[in-house]
Amino acid sequence: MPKEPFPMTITITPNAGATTIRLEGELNAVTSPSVKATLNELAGQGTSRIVVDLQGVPFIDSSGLGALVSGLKAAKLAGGSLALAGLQDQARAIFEITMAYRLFDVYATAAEACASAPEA
Amino acid sequence: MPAVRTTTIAARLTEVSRLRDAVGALAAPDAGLPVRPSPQAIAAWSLAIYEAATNVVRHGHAGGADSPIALEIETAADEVIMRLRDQGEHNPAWAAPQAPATEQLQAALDDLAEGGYGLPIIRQVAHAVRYERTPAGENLLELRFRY
Repeated sequence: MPKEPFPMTITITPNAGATTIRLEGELNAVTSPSVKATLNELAGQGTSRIVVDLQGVPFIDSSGLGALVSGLKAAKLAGGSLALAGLQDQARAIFEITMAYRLFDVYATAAEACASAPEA
Repeated sequence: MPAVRTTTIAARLTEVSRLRDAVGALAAPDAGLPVRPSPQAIAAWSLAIYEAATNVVRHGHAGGADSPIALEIETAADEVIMRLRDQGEHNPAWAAPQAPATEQLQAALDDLAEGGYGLPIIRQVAHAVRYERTPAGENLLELRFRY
């Protein structure tokens, strides 16, 4: 029973003060290159605050973590910030094992992350 | 006789998630484990196996091939032993001496590395990692996890 070959839906919603990028699907070896490219593009466009909504992401592997770190670096380099929201239990494992929590601002929901955005 | 379950996939990145399902099945009440593993343990073991198999596909099979990767899961009294067997290229990285996983992870995080977390994650989660190129020319990677 072959599974679907990992669809990843990326939805970008610009809001006042923060741009939300909602991911739906596994953030894994197959899908992380496109997420990494999208995050870098957003940061390069001068988006001051990026909120990555992970509520629809059931799994994150090391390449997914690498993509988020890449986005974080690009955002900081451009003078902005990147926050994570809605981490699911399975996806949480990699942050706990690597202690990558301390790199990111992590919020329960995307709305919370956006509300806490620093004034532009 | 210890119980051994085997799951076989093709050496492709799109297939590797099926191995996580096999690990996830250990959480079932009738999985026959002496201790019911916590959801956190299952998530960590699944991640370690995913990382290991992804590494095998990338480095042993040039990113993807039709040859099989087999995952054997053996449940013992105080640990779960998982073995990945494949016929890809010899991967000496597994046998190379490694700094403690926490040090590697810490260094990678401090450097904000965009990759290279896979092997340290495996070594952080598994209490023992053994790699062998068998006389038959097969790669055998054994990961042991405590309950």
